[in-house]
Amino acid sequence: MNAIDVKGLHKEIGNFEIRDLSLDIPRGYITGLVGDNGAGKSTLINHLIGLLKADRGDVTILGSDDIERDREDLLNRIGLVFAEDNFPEHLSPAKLEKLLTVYFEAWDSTVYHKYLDDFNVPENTRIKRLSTGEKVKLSLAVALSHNAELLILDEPTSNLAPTFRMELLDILQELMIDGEITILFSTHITSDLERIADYIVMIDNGEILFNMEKEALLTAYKKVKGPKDILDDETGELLMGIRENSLGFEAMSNAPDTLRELFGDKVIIERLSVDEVMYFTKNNRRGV
Amino acid sequence: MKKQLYLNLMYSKWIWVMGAIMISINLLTAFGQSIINLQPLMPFVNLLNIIVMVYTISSILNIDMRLSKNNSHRFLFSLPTRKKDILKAGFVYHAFMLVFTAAVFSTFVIIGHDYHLYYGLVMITGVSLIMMSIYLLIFTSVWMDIPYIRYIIYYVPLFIVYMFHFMPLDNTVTQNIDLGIGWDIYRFIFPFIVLGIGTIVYAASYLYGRKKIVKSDIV
Repeated sequence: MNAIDVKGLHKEIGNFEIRDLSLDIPRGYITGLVGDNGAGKSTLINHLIGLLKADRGDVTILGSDDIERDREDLLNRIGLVFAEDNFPEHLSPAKLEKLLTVYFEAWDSTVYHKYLDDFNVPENTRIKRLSTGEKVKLSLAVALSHNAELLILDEPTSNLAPTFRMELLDILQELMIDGEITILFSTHITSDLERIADYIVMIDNGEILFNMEKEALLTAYKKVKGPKDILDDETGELLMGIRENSLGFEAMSNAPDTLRELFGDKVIIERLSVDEVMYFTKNNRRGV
Repeated sequence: MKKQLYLNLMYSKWIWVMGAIMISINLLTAFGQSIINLQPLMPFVNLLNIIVMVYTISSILNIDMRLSKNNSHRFLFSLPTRKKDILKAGFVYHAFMLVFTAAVFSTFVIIGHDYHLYYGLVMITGVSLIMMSIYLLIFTSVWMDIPYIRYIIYYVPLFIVYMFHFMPLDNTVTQNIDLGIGWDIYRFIFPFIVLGIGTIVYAASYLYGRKKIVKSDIV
């Protein structure tokens, strides 16, 4: 069963458009959502939490196919971290909690204060005076303190120091062990996804380019390097996102064994990183 | 709705405090007038009352301004609440604030003003209900966008009513000026018609807005 099912989502916002987007996020796993700036990650996330309303299409989240009707219940069960700081700045984390206890049915004050303490976020300092990193940590503390079934994290690690980033990834992995939680994690830092994600979704210009299990993706697709003289129409069909340089070419292929059979040691087959998958996929899309 | 009402009250706490202080000052002034001569202070007290009542009658606008700071409405409107409840809380809250404004006004009247001013209050209340209906209906479509246009839509008619009904009402009554039956209808009966229309428009706007708000984008 999926935590999130999106079918045929269509939305126009100014010059940007999401066209016929379909996506499923399996329950109980960590799914990474990757894409360039302006690709539509935050727009997609805003649809999932009811901040945007689709022009067409269906969104089912945690079993509900009517976000408007079930909004209060759903948002009780979803923990959110936004990409930007949108906190009410005149409040302190302690005063913010007074508000949050009213809104969240399962608010856990002990857990909240424990996270604030562990993350070294000062409780009685106005949010306006917190550093960018502290605000992100506060956002995480809020998201993790009401027994959410689904965590939607929009670029949570972008403004974090590397040491705390590693700590956060550990916390997320521990949450996966402890309970039936689903995590949707949008990020630019693909090394984080390589470390903890089970599934990876790439979005570009409002369209899903791929949605695959991470290991299956990195097993099925390989980086191929070789001399330019083997490039022709036939090999071109086996390669994606070809990039030529003075030494030869690099590309991505889902038929590395065929290329090995054809060209032997002339080609070098390597494991791809998530960054490289994104790069070659985007190149392929642009017709490069 | 209770959650959103709590947020509205939390964000307008200082307006409630200001109103309570003003009521206290008015009551003390009313009591103190019988003991000492407070006439030199009256212009200041009158002005203070007007300022406080401007804030109490437009408290929702003040809340919206605070919600918009740092785009914090994105965070606050993604907390567990329904869009319909956000709207309902706005309508209920404004009704509370009109009653509160009337309370401040009542204590203002007893410090040396005449009861004819209540006709002015009725008129302003009716217009406030109509303009807030428009304000909240626009909110159901654009949420926090175009704030200054929404503020102008609310404030300008109230100012016009203050200048062209409240002030002439006060001036003509205190100076005993008889301008005929037409003026009497305008000063004393028309406010109740406006209040009745305002109440109907307010209720109808709420019912219409409930259907509209679920179709709009919050951000």
